[in-house]
Amino acid sequence: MASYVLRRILLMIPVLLGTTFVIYAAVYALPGDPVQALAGPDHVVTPATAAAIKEHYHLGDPFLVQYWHYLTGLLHGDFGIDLANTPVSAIIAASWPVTVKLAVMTWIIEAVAGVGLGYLAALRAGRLPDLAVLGGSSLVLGVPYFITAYVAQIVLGVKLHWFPVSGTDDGWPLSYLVPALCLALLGVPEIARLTRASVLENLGADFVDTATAKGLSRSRVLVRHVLRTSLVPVVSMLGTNLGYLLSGTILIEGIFNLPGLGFQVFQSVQQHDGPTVVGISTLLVLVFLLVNLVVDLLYGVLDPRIRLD
Amino acid sequence: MTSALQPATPAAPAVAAVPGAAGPSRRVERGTLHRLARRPRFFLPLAVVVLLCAMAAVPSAFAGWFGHGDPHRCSLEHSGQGPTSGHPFGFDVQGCDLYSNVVHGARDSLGIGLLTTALTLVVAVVLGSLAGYFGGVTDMVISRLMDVFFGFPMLVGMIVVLETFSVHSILSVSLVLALFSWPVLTRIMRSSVLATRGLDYVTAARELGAGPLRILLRHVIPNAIMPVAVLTSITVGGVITAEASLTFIGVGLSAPAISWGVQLNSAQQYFTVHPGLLLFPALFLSLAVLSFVLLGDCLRDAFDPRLR
Amino acid sequence: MTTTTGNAPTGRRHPLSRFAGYDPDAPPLEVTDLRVVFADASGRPGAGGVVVDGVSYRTAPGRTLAVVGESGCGKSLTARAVMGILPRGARVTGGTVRLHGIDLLGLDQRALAQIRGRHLSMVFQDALSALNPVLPVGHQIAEVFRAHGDMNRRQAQRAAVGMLDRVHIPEAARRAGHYPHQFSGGMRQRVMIAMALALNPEVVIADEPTTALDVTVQAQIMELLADLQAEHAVSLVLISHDMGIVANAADSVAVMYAGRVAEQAPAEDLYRRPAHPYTRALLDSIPRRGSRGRALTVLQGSPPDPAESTDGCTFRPRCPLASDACATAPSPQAVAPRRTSACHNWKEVVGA
Repeated sequence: MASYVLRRILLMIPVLLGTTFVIYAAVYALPGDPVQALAGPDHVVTPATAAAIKEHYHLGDPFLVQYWHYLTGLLHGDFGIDLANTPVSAIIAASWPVTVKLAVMTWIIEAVAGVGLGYLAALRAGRLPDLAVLGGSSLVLGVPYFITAYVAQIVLGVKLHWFPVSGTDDGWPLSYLVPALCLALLGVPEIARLTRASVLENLGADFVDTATAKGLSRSRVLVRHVLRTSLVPVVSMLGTNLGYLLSGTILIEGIFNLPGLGFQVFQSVQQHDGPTVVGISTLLVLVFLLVNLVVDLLYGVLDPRIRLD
Repeated sequence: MTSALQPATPAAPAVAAVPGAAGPSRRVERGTLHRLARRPRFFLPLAVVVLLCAMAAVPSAFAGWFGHGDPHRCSLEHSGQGPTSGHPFGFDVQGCDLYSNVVHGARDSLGIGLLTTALTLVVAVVLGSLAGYFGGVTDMVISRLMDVFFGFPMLVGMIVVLETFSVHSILSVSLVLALFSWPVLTRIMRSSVLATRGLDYVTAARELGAGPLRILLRHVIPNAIMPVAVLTSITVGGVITAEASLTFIGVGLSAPAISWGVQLNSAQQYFTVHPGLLLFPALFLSLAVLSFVLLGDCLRDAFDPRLR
Repeated sequence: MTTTTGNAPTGRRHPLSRFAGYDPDAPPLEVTDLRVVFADASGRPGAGGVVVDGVSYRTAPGRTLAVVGESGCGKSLTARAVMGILPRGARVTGGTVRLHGIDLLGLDQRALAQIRGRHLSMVFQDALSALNPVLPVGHQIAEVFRAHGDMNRRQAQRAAVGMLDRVHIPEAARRAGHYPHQFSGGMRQRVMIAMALALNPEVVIADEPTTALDVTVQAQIMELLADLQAEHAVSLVLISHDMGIVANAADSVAVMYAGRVAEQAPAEDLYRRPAHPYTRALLDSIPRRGSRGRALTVLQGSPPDPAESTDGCTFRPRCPLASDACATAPSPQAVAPRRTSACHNWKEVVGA
């Protein structure tokens, strides 16, 4: 197990360098004036801000030196400065709790609803619940989730007044419930389908017959042997899905006015505040990589076979 | 029956495009197509896709059904008005006919969807084949590169790159979308090529002295491309959604382009007063994505050997 | 070292006595006229091909009954029908299965679960796929104790280690925490056997227990099975296609062909003087000492497809002795006491 953990961690280093390099190259190494590129074509940058940005990013130095400064800065929690010359890390510090609350709630909904529906569909394969889950998941995948979010906002908030329309005035969990549900729509169909396929495969597995032949009750066979084994690939998908989830917070927090990291990106794009967009996005990338590392390690715990590969 | 068979024709090239596929397998595929053509699950979304493609190719033929059909003939006195005769969807805030706008929006949305998918497919087939067939250093470089792009939450990566672009045209948006979409299909192509590479007829061809390029083009790629090809339709659906999301946020296309995303973006501030501004483009967008996804589901179920 | 939960001590009521029909003197396992039918082409369960067609056999305490035949002859499906773990779409459409007189097919799932693993258990062919890949083997054995005894987790775990020790797995306590893929094929099969024999059941069905193993390991496993069987007077049903293994292990043999029992006899008699042309063909295909240089007789053709119903004797197309009488299906005919043959011309076979 120890060598498995070490290998996973070592494998992450090139990815970490690669992703930050792509971001850095896209933003600061493109031809033209990076300050103007970040600010957008219509934005007038005051000479003072331009100078501050130039100095902060060491734009006078050779390219690799710039990248090195940027990378070591990231490790120290330096995500750059915005156009108003305040550190992006300050914006992050103020808004991360909102995003964490939303993401955790969404993740729980995804896991519970996705696994539950997929399991139900597999046990009733070919019959009504199964067809409903399969058809429903196609439908949900087909309608872009930010459209669903708007419709939910209009119907549940504006028309029916069941939930707050936007903002976080009603606190956790009420203000987060509808946004989390809309965001979960991104992951639930895929998780449900994967769970269904995985449970169906395991239902026909030999070890299920063994468990039955041992005299275990049907419910114990289903939970302990079928479901437990089927969850292994689902866990790894929960990790991949976090990518969609983090991307989704940008739209969902924007639509529902939840002042989290995604909302800051949404706002900064509209206000052409490039450094904030890039800084927060970089954090999201790092979080994504880190959580996936944790999921990978968890995968190793759940499936002893892969530790050896 | 004619209606069921007719839509099957445009899909045929997708299968026949596999050059030099072995005779028997092609017959099997044709049989699958015939079976598919009789299922509503297949031909309904296909009909919608064909209709939308026609709309994107010649929008003027559809836009003029009810009124003048010119998305740029606007007058502010109609700003935000509801449906009237000749304008079934009403007007947007600029006083332009919403129906003809939505019809013309198909061109940019589908254009980006198809262009990005084509770019992704080319990159995936080329890099996936190289990595799978040659292995070694080639494989390592390509695989590590894929890992890097898998390291991005997709939309986040696109936002960062697009944020630094000064031109937001169909081409530039498509390029960025493709930049973050290629690894998914490339990984599938790579493992498919890996599986094909070891088959006896490939070894036989190699021993007969065929060069790597010839083996790849004539033997490996035609037989390994299926798992990737069946994902084309789903990819188009995903790309259209991604474009709409990016444009909605404000880093994608911008006016004077008139994709559905652009319309949704400009509807943001007004939707509580004029829900139609949001509703109609959203309806078309959803219909398009849904059709591509359902069609893709159907093709995948029918053709993906791993699901048989 | 033996496990704590054996059969109930004398003086207390036998645990099986709470089931209707229990008779301690009845055969441990008695299958009568069993029919199993697959799903038809449209997927309707039990409406398609007949794969087990009127099979009957019975076992004796402490004895081994071998069920032999080619793959697809219905020997495994009969066993699965006995255990109540038929594959999807297959249904029992007739006959009875009795364990010490208790009608297993008439029991509900709850009652059946109380019998399975405790009084009737099974060793599967491929231990790698028959063991759960993501649970430690010790846990999988402990589950048997947990399901049937009132042991807590610790006690069950200790009993499981005891079982691993009993099937001669070295360092049992440490190995109990390992996963199936960390064991060799032979060791995995020992784990399966430990699981099946944990509660000293009355009947154990071993479905091709050694087919996936090396020849030397095969012998060890068969020896282990025989030892454990002798210790507790287990009645063993050994399913095999290998006439050589059966010759060493079985007390009596049932030869199956195309879903029916072709011949049933004490092992010694069957090997010495087969009474069915199919048995004869099977025996002729075993290489023997002294047969070196001579071509082995190989049975031509292949068994009939269960999806197509055949009139008359199912072996007729491949039978060297086929006659007009074979147009009607033969019912089992008494050859000797405890010996039957489903062949019109059995006298010819025995005499040959």
